[in-house]
Amino acid sequence: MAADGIAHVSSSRTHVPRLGVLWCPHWPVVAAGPSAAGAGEPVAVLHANRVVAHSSAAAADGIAVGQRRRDAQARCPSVRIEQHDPARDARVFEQVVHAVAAMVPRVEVTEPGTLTFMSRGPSRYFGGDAAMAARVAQLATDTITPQRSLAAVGSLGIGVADGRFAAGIAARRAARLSAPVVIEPGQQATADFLAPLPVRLLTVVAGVAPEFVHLLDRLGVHHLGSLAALPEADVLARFGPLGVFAHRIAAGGDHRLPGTHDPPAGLQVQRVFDQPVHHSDALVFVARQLAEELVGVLAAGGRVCTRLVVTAETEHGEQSERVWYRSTGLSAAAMVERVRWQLDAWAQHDSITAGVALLRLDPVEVRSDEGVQLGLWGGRTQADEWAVRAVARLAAVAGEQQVLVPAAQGGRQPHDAYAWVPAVTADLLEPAERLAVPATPWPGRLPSPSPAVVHRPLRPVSVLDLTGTTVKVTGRGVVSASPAAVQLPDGALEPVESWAGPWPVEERWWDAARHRRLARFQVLTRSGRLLLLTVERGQWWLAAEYC
Amino acid sequence: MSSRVTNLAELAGSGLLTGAAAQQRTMPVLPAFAELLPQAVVQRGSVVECAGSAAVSLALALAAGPSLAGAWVGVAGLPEMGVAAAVELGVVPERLVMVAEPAQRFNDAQWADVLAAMIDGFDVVLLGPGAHVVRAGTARRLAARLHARGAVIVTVEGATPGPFGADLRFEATGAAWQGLGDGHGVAGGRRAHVQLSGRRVPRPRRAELWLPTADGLVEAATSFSDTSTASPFNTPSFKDPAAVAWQPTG
Repeated sequence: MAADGIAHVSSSRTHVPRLGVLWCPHWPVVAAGPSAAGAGEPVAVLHANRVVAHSSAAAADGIAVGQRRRDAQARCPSVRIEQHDPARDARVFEQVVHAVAAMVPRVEVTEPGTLTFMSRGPSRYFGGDAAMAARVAQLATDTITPQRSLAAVGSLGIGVADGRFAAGIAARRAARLSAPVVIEPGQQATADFLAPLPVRLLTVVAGVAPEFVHLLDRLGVHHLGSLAALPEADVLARFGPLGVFAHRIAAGGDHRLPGTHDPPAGLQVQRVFDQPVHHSDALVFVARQLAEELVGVLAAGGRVCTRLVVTAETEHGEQSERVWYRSTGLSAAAMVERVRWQLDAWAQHDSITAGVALLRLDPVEVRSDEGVQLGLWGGRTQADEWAVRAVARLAAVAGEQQVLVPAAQGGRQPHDAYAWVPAVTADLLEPAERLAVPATPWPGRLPSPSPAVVHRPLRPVSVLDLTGTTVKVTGRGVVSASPAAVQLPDGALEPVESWAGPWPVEERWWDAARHRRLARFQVLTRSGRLLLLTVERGQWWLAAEYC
Repeated sequence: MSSRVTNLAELAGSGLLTGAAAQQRTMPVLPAFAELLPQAVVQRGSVVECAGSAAVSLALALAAGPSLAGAWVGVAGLPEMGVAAAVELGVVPERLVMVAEPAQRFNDAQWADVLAAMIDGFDVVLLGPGAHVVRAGTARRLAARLHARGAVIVTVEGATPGPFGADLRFEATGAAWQGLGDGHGVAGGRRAHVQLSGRRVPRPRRAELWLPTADGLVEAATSFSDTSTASPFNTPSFKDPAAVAWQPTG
């Protein structure tokens, strides 16, 4: 009963804003740019060895998001692989944002490839939702096409509907139909539009945890309509606040999480520079301090920022203002990342005539932090706080490119298993994605133990047999003679105690330019050093040492 | 007499006898080091030097215990550290940070700033031979900071002696790799004599360690049980990479 009362009050008080969403499918592919092969070329963008985006041609060959690189290449050997680069995605998308922002006010970048704007004003100006959507779509497509091509992924979509969720789905449908999709206003019309759609969209569009959606599926709630038909009080009792959120958006209600509200004035943080700053690195460093300050103030009140306006101004009054949104809340690291995207794009797109004199972070939407983004065990310790601060300090002292953290990438060679990436580009406190190790080991990888010292680049050595001639390995893996001595890079000649190998590796045999064939040996010298050597085209290399 | 018994009981109740108070001033290391370090802990604020043929593995294994207990590990002067080996030994990659020297090298003042920031931020600071260029005076100031902050420095001995005066010195000697033959087999573990000496160690202590075992772990080697668990000869045919190597996929 009490729950009914609350639901009634909240639904009467909050009106659902009418939003336009512009969505480009597989934006990382568009941002990666076209190649000589044209739009029909299969392209896949990978992050941490998993496909995050792919072109239509790749989809036709069976490549899907979430696949491992090997699976993708097995389905389509000719696929062009691009590495995921969120900064590039944001930079290229900024052109679209810039163009659309000239037409409609207060454009909000949800993520590179998706932007959201209030549709009411522009629709009235351009004569209706459909006319406005068509103009925005045309404008965005024209902005992209000179340098990049949308042909590889189809077309972008614009959806107009009540609420972020329905508008997001409408935009996806519009991309499929290559024409804007407008849903009639009103909660009933929105609910009717959503009712026959699968609950899976809660994860895809609204970012609800996949476990929750699987649970709904197992319970027999397959469609948004069946979820909306459940009594809200029962949903709250069974699934908690997250369930109520899903229930509300499925019924065409407000997309904001319960507990979301506009913050009191005066929460914004800003820094005015007496000496205008010309380097984006220095600005990002200041942004980090501002973001930490802001997150600290919000956290003290148990809140988290979901919508943030970042403003930068030069001495000459040039201004860059963007709205950033993240349904789970923006951490300090996420804020800094977005400031960096915005500044990079601004500096590249507009010719700024002076240094930056003001930087401001303004939270325009906050909600109570219910730990949606942090799991029960994801608690931070004092040691973590200190370490994150130390990394920021080290980046300032030693340079951002010099402070590194490991990222799993997988591979056959010892140096392939992990790569070092700059710590400032990584989320230190949520490293799960960065360190996700492929579920199955690489075939042909040497068994543990792994070498404690890995030489990169490889260092040339020579391996001699008893007669003093260099040992050769044939293409079939036959060794010309037993290795008797190794001449190390420092010139020392070490007699060989025992050895094993060759273990051949043949990589990318389908690609003549990148094809590699090499053989690996373990060699134990008489002084007790165990070396990992490779031989490729007759040249021996010291790859690693087990010291 | 009875009062003394009561006192002991009180002490036990307050945790002084069980070492609960002492544990806050120490960091846990892996149980494999229990034979060398009483209660398998290392004092906060100390400098630990690793030397000998297994110095890098030894340093990584020493950093693994605190890392598993939640500490962050910062590495400097050791750009060629193998992350896979560190992870196998127990270092948690989520809490691992490396400071790489730029091509034009750090000068002494930069090293001082870098190491000070690392000591402030990370509980374990692992320094390779590259960091041994620090001057003795700088090293003394950093050691004072280390004491105040309660972190631990683990150094890997290089060609020249390092500037940090070591409180504890581990030396791996007589390391013997198992499993390699004349053109067959695969390296499956190393048995090393590890000797611990230092200022607060009146008599050097010795232990036999698998550093690493065939699975990349560190374990105490005892002459009776090692054939069952830590032997590299467990399943040689399964471990042979040649059996799985020739699969031409990307």
